[in-house]
Amino acid sequence: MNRPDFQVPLSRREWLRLSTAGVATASLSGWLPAMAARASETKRAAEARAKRIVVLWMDGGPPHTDTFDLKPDVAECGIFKPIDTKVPGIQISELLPRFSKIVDRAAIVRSMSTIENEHNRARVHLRTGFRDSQGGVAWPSLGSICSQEIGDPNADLPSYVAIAERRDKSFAPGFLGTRHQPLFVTNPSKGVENLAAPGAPEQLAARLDLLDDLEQGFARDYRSPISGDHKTVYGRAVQMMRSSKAKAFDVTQESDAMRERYGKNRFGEGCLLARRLLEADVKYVEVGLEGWDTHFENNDQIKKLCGTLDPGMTALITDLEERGLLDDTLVVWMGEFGRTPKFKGKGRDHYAKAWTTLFMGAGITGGQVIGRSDATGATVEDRPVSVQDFMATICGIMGVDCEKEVVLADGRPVKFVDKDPKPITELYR
Amino acid sequence: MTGSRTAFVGSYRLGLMAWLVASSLSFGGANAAETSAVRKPPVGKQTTTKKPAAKKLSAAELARQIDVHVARSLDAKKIPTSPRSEDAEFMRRVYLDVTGTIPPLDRVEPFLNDSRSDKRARLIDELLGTEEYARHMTDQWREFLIPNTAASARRRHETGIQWLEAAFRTNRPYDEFVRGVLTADGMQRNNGATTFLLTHQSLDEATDRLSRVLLGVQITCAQCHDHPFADWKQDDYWGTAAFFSKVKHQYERIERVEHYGVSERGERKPMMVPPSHRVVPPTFLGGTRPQLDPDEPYLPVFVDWLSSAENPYFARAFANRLWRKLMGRGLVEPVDDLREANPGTHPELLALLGEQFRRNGFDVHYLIRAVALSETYQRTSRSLDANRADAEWYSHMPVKVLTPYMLGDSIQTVMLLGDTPAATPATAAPTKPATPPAAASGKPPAEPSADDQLKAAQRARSTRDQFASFFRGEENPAPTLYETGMPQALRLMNSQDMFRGSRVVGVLSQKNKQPEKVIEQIYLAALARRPTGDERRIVLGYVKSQPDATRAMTDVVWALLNGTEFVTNH
Repeated sequence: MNRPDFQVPLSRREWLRLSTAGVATASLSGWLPAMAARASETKRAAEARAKRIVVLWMDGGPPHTDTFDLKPDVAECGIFKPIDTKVPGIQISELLPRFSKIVDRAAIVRSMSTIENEHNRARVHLRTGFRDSQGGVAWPSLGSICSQEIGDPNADLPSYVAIAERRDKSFAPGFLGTRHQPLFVTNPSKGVENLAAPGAPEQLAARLDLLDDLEQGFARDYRSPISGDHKTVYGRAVQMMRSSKAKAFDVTQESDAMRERYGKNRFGEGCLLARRLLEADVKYVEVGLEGWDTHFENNDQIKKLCGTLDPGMTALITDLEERGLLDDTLVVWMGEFGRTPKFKGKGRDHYAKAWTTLFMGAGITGGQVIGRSDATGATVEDRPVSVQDFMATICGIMGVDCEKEVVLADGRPVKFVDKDPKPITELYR
Repeated sequence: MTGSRTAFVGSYRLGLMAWLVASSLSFGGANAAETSAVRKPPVGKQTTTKKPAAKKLSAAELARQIDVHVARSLDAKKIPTSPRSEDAEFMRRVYLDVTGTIPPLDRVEPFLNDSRSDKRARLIDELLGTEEYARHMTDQWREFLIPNTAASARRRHETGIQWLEAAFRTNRPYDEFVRGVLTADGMQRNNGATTFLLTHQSLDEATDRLSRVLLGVQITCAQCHDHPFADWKQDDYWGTAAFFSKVKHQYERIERVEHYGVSERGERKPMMVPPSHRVVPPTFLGGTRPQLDPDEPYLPVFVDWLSSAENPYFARAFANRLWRKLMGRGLVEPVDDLREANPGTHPELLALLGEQFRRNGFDVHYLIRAVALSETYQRTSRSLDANRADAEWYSHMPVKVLTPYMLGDSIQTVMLLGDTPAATPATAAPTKPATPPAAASGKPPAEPSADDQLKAAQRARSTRDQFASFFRGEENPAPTLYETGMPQALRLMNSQDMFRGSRVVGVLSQKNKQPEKVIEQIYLAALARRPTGDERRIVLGYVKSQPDATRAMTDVVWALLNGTEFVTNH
């Protein structure tokens, strides 16, 4: 019912300030939220514990028994040794020595228990909170939800940035539409390229006006939602080109010492870029570390990955703290699932039944373990955390009202998080 | 080998019978009359093999049948159809769908001015014979068959790409094409067809991809547990995987260069076997187990089953994928989820397409020709108020989005006009097939004489590949999905490459003195149509308002290439 009508021509010049709220764009799926209320107007916003979020995404699924939930008494569970951390009673893997010194900033959730065991389905489930195509709805990713609910519609930079090797549909804005799609950065050391238009600024302005004028004919004749999507993307890109904030994408502006601290690799540079983007008011940044799908040579690969993860994640947390940003920034460490606690050959398989995530920053009570897996890491014995619980926890911290009803274009009411979530209240105690 | 094949044929014909009845029942389930006709008890040998349209149809006849089936559902839903596309719309569409690029400028007006009544059919046939067709099909099948993983990206697959191009250039029948892919034996440098098995590191990777692509089924979830929604069981998965279990990766080092290959007879290491592996004897979907000679390769037997008349998936999976590419949406969606409980919108039509594809010798040109000749395909993308909401019954052609390769090639088609002042019909026009290589006889393509040749071919591809990988989004996206993000928009707006339009303007201005005429040529080059009155007025006004006419015309090229109309196929 709220489908935009492209027969109404957008006024001249309008698209230069296009991003100022309210420009209706069709979503990829054809669903549009009919509601206009923004979270900043709801009381949830006042209860927000964090203003921005970084998700460190271990793509492929990290093994809990090699990282944060070791089982030293069961030989089959892994070869890596536990080490003591800054917090008495909490041990983590010897592969994470730097992080062991700041475990007091982290809450380790050892009781994730989810249901999707295949990468693509699990990525969709863990990024959107819903199973792939559940109920025939194109569910938005959490980043898109945050962009819609807590993003500043006037911001020059997109609210949602994903630093990832691959674009796939689990990141998509779903029914929230193109306005809330992530900006993908595939190479963090290059950032975003082509930000400068050749020629003088007035030349660019003239060209853009010409483009805008010529767009009207096709939009009117063909009435395709792609016209609206195109306009949104171009409008956002132009706004970014014109903003001094775009330099946040350039990590080479950091000192060499700072880049060394994070690690001069894709993940380290990604974490550093994330910090720069948060300082430029980006709300949601995901940083991917790919390669955790260790079916075959688990131990060699995990050793290498942790060698990258440890400095990157530790530098991000301590750097945010030094800059006074950690208290209102949530940092989450996760994958799409865990890995089998016991070896099969030299590898570990996908495992959703019991695995581990980390919460840091946002004023959470650090230095604690939440939930418990059994002696062999195979099942959850205490405080199972479902995908809904997990999503609702993050929404709560970010001030996103996940109980609110969103009415889709066809009149169907949905919520951002599926039925009866139990947020992890233990994070604040 | 022949012995082992005859051994299984007899047993599985009978064994499959009951299952086939069930399968055709549900695939044809939308038609009540047909369903009740089939709902006899499946006893005896000849009761059930009767399928709709047992007769072999020509492409034109099949096109009419397509229209009949589509009209039936539209009538039932009382959705009116949009009119037939105009010549310009049709021409650009069929060029993009068949050759992957927009028509070159010098081809546009001759077609628009052609008054022969069969000019659309002629154009379809002509385009199927071009080198661009082979390239475009190769782009698609590369994505289907070579996994986009770090492991596969570490190596170049030039011979595999050349093998695909040769297959499409010579219109190799699809069953033979698949036989080439699955039974490839030898080293990659000599036999590019080995590339596809070679780039799959593990048994599950090969099983997942090839079952999705070739059979159109998702049995992946059944790897670890019975599928949550579908009927697939773990034994379906591991029974299919078992056919790949003899594939071994070969390796040799000659003069410090590493070479790879595959064989079902070799001694080297088999593909990696995932931990969740269950040992199940090779089993066709549906449960029949062929008698196999343990000393012989398994995959030839699997291929025989794939392309046999009894296999309900193989031909339909291809037809459905092709339909999706041309019509914007699969008759069954997702295209890799053919199963009884997911019959799609037009189950009888899909059965018919698969059946006729098989009866016509798995002739890929035939199927493309049939779809493209149909009125269904030739309808305009302009919706009516009364059919605007329709996105699945084909009342009008959906607006599709150019894939990254199509976008890059289409930009190049325009920019090439500026490269040589003589307007170069030789490079811009579709090329006739090169001298048919050895592949025409069904043998692998001739071995490249030197590594240098391979490297030259790789370099030629690298610009295209680089552009495409920058624009690449999710794997196998819906044809209507607009995936351009801000980085891609920035590149289209600001990269130097997009300002080569000034040379195009230079060439066109030399040949046409009037600005109005230059503008018309720019429209024909970029959009394969003449500008409307409004557009002439806007563009002319713009050019006059700017101090530098060439620069202003360059802006016009820029604006057209950055517009929605250019990046879509409508």
